[in-house]
Amino acid sequence: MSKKVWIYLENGTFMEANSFGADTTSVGEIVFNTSMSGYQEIISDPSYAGQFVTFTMPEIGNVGVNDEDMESMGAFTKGVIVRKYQDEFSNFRADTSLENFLLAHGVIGICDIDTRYLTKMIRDEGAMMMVASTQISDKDELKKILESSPRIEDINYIEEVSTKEKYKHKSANYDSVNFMYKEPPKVKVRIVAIDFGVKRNILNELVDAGMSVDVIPNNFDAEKLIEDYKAKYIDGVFLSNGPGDPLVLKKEQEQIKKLIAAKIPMFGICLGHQLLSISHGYDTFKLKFGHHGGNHPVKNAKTGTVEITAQNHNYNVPDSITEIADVTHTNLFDNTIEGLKYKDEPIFSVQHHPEASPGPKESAYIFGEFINVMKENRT
Amino acid sequence: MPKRTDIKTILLIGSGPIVIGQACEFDYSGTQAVKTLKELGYRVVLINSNPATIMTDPEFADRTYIEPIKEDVIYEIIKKENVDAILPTMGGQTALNAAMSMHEKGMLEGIEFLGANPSAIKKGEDRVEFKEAMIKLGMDLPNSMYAHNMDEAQEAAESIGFPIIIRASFTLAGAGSGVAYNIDEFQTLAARGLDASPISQILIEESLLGWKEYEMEVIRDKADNCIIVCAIENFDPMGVHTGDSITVAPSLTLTDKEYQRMRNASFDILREIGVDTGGSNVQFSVDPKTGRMIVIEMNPRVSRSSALASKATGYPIAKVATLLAVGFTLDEITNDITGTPASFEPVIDYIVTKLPRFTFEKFPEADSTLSTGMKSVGEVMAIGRTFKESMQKALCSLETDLCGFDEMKGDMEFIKHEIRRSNADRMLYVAEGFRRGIDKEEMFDLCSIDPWFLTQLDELVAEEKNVDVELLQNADKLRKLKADGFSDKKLAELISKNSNMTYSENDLYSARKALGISLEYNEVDTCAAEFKALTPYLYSTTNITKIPTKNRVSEKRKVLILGGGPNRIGQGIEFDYCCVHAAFALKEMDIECIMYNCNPETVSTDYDTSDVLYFEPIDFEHVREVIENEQPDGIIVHFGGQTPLKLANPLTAIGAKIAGTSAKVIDLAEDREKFSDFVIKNGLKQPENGLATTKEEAVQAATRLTYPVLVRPSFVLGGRAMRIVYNEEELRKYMDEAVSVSNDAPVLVDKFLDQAIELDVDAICDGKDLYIGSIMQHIEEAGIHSGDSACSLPPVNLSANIIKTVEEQTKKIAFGLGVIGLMNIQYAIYQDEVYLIEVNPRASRTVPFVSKATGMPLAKVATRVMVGESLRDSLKFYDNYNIVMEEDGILKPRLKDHVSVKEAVFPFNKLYGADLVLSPEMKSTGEVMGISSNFGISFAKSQMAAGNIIPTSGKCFLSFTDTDKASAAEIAKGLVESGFSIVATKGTQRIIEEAGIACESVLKISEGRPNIEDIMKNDEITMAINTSDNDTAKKDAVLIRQVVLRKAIPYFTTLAAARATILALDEMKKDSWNAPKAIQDFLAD
Repeated sequence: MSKKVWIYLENGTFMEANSFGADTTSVGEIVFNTSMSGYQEIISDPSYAGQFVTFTMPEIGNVGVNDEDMESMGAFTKGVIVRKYQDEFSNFRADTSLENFLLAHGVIGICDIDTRYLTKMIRDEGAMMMVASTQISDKDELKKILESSPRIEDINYIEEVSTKEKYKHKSANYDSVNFMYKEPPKVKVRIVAIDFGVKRNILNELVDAGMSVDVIPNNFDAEKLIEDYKAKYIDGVFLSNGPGDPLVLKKEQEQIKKLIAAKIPMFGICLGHQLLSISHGYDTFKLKFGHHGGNHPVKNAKTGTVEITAQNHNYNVPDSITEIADVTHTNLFDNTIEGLKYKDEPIFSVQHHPEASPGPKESAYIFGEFINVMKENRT
Repeated sequence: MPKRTDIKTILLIGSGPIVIGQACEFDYSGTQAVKTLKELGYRVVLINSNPATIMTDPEFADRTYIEPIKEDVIYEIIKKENVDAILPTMGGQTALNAAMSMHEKGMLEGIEFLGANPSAIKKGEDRVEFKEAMIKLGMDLPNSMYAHNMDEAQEAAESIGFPIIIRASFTLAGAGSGVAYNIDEFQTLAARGLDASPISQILIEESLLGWKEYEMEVIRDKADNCIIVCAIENFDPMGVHTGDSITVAPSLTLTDKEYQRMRNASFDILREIGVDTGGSNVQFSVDPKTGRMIVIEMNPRVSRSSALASKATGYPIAKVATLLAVGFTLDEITNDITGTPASFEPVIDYIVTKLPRFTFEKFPEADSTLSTGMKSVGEVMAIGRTFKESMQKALCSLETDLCGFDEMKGDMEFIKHEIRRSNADRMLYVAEGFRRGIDKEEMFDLCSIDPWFLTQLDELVAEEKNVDVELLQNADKLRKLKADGFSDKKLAELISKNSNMTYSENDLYSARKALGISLEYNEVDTCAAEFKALTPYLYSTTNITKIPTKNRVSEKRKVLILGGGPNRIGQGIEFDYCCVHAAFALKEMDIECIMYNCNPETVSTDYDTSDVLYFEPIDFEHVREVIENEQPDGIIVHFGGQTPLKLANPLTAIGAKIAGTSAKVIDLAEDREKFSDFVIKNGLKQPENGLATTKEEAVQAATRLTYPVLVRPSFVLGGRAMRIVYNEEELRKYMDEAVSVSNDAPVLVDKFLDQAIELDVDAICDGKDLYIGSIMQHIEEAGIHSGDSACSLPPVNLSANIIKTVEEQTKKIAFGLGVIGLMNIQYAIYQDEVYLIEVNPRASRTVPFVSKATGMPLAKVATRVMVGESLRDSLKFYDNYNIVMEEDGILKPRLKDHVSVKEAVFPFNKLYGADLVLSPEMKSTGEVMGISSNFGISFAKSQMAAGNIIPTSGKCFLSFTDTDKASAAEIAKGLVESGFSIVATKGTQRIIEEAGIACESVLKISEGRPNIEDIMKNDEITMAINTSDNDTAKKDAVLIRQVVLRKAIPYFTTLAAARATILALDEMKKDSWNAPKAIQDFLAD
């Protein structure tokens, strides 16, 4: 007989389901993701720290888990919620089952539950906090745990997911014809990437585009980077994706402001994009249930074409930012801003995930644009 | 950019008759295209020879030509209608080939191709050009070589190695294709492929047997925006035509890296091929061991799988492709379901399973092994939250009496054989294998089906063992089993088996309801619930979680229409046509229309057709739950053929309200004994008949009636297992087979009326008045299934007296039975007497044909009548062409000055080994219509449209049965007068010569060489009239028919058809005899 798990949501919803993965109790924010492939990449994406991910794709576990598709060293999601978990997997690259993977990383898995019901609830009521436990079945007790836990906005997950040491990222993109990582191409420019919980494939893309990438922790010193930039040790700074509410990252914002003032070329993705907005004085706002999936149409203002994009964010930059930046990309689902180029500054950023993984690859050209910005800046 | 204004008139080419490989999905796409273009204000001209299509309804296109889809006809239409552009991508391979051939001949100068330009079509379709394009892109391809003759083929085979795939170029649905495991097979297949290819070219290819197969449904606009609408994964590994494969959506065994690779490759391929605007599908194969991905093919047009993808996701590919073709870009189009832009990629939170529907039981001689040539005649789609639920629902949808993974008989050796062999029931044998203890590794070795799918089947079978009586009280366990898709009937069967007691489907239902477990309904919303769905397109699921639910609420009056399910022989597009018309009629009355069906190819399952759509198996359990959810004010069971009609009784028993003709009346007409009483009471005449439940009873009955007799099981459609038997031996043989067919229901034995004229009558009754929609005269004599007969409207040569008698009898029957709505009656005229053959108190196959021919939409009129309006008012509402008149208290159409001929279209060329003999058992898959000012031309047009093109000169082979030999001279004379020379086998030849007509003689195959087979193979014969012996055991006749098929020689198998051909030949001598004329003009004249 399968193990039971009980969940309690802050709107009072209490449900029983089966569990796979870790035997534990955990608290986090519940969101849903509509991607139909790439559960491993999603679960290992550090941006999901502090969150339970509800997969709308009903069959999960089918292709197991492998070493190559990891987006980080582990799994930072609080829990995984699926309609059906299949322990027996089938894929030539699979090393182990999703359950084994979750067990290894202490992540709770919830299955045999109506994920569509939860999705509609999140859609209508917004993302909310929840608790899941394989140990406690009492609704009131779960409610108590939830109420005594901090909300996602109050936790700084960056400290947990950012690298502790500086390191050089050496791998380029994945070659999905020969199923191996490619060797890096010739270096055109040098950058540092500030790790707020960076996805491995972002670093791969940066390297693949011709960048030498040093990854540094979130508690970086802007003065040092400015010196390096002036000394031409580096040509630009990349601000990564990451979990949580960007407004709480005061320390990081202060440092970024200095980089802006120093006119260093910068490129931000997701959280990086949001931090650039905040650091320019335009605070982000929280979306009702965020964008999480691999099918969002984004219009490129320059080319007029539509890119199908990978998305994972709960916060967004405000429309008022158009006072100081041009909108380069717009989400056609809800017309929110997806990409910005700051006026008279060598800075640009996107909200969606051009590195995909999982998701469509057509926005990957953006990494090449970063090189152009840095080169232009030097001439 | 908005729509283009530089084009005004657009010609849309339909796909013609339903054949294997081209079914009603092209009515679905074509109808969407016509609607869309009309809404944009274009003038739409349409050509399609298939009258049973919604798109050919006179009110859809501006000008509708129900004409053969032939180049010269299309050319005339283009000139006549000032066509600016042509949309050839909505009518399958037929439309694409016609347009391309015309383009190459320079017949389309100044006419723009919309959707895909000729060079893109060529690149996508021509295997050599496609291969070059793929190599240029760096795509991996199977090792392959082309051959144009047997020597080249042999060489290629030696260099590639066995097994080998042979594919014929420019053919439909894999015709002329196959897998060869040895040199003998290879030679047969290569020869067949070279024959089948119009350019005598075959591709000889490395076999990818056992590899996984995928299809990507892609849309691209002129701004180069590309999206994948749906990724479809085949359950069956490579080696089975995708139309014959079980397929699922979304793809289930790919990691994101592999999926994105395939997605990118799809876009690159569309760009390279040059499909600038519209939908295409690209097929890939993946080696499960290494991930090596190979491109198989692409279709630069909408297809069967795009119809499936549209229904699976709710994303209307044909509609969007049409908008793109006339200048829009994806971001300018709105997704009707969510109100968001159409430039996104649909995501789904359920699993879709498509199962093909086969009819091998009708062609026992045909090879039932599935291969690269398509053999299925239809398909069902089911939606469930998990693969298990989806798959089991799909099995229930097939209407092959399955209620899940039913047990299969046979010893282990046989079971393994059937697991190894690709066949229609393979999934059932796989389940049976697990049931008997085959482990997953061995199973994979046997069938190469992906282990993930095998696990699902293995688990389902394992669950069966835990089903016992306790289940009826265990809510958790029952909920789990229901969520895995076990039907009530299956669970009842399992409990009965495991407990040695008898439980019914209803016991299970009651227990389930007592435990609070009902089916729930989810929306097909293109977005996995991310946005609120605006369109109620629904499927059922048993929720794994108990959540609060509520029924759909609506203030309006509601009518539920039960559809016809999968296309199969005997129940095809004609019934879907009627259901769609019912929906239209209800909309016009402002009654809420709830459509219910499980066939993804259809117009009825377009969410636009009805107010609410349920995509569900048409069985008692699922229909009943929808009725509980909707509480409809009426249910139309009469339009979807026999499938929904069978539910009339059980639904009435649970208190559901059947609209129109009641279950009691249906039962009376179907129950032979009760009906015989009715016939006697009303002074009507039936062929003498008897009823038999045993072999001896049948023999006694036949002896009493005297041979020949017509035997058939009761309650069947399409003449399943119906046969004319001429002696006791045949009858005994038949009874051995028939009893298993009819599940011990009685067998009917009728006196067979030899050489009688058969009539089909469609009528509508409201209890007060009767409208006789038409009297059609069959061209073939009684004894050939009415669905397989050509027929003429009006009748060709009936006396006024006979017509009057038929009308009076029809009235007597309609009122006597108490029909409210449509009915169809078949009569036979035998020695100037009218005999009643069959009464069906439901819509018939001929309703669309009659509606087109007369201009009165019978199904719409009947719908109004069934929901309570008077017949007179209903007729008035639809009498657009002012045809209704009254004579002797009977309403009927005033026939205009045209003759319509319906001809049946057969699948013999697709089912290798099948014999092209007509019989009481229906074998045709589709129909065409010829319409003109006289019978001869209409018949000629109908033959042309059916692909049986009557030649106007050459050598005609004649062979007659002994009873027909008397007419040999008459036929020969007609042919010679039309300029043919005649050749016949000895017996026939002598009779013809004796009548003073020159006739060559030729040896029978058994008589030596050169014989008839040789001269046919040498292309010396341009036409064959062969009524000889329907007994397939006669080797000569069978062989001749095989050559006729292979060489595509026009052929006629009855005397009546031969006579019609001679009439046609007279007309075909005249100039521009086949000048096209729009149906709107015929009806208005």
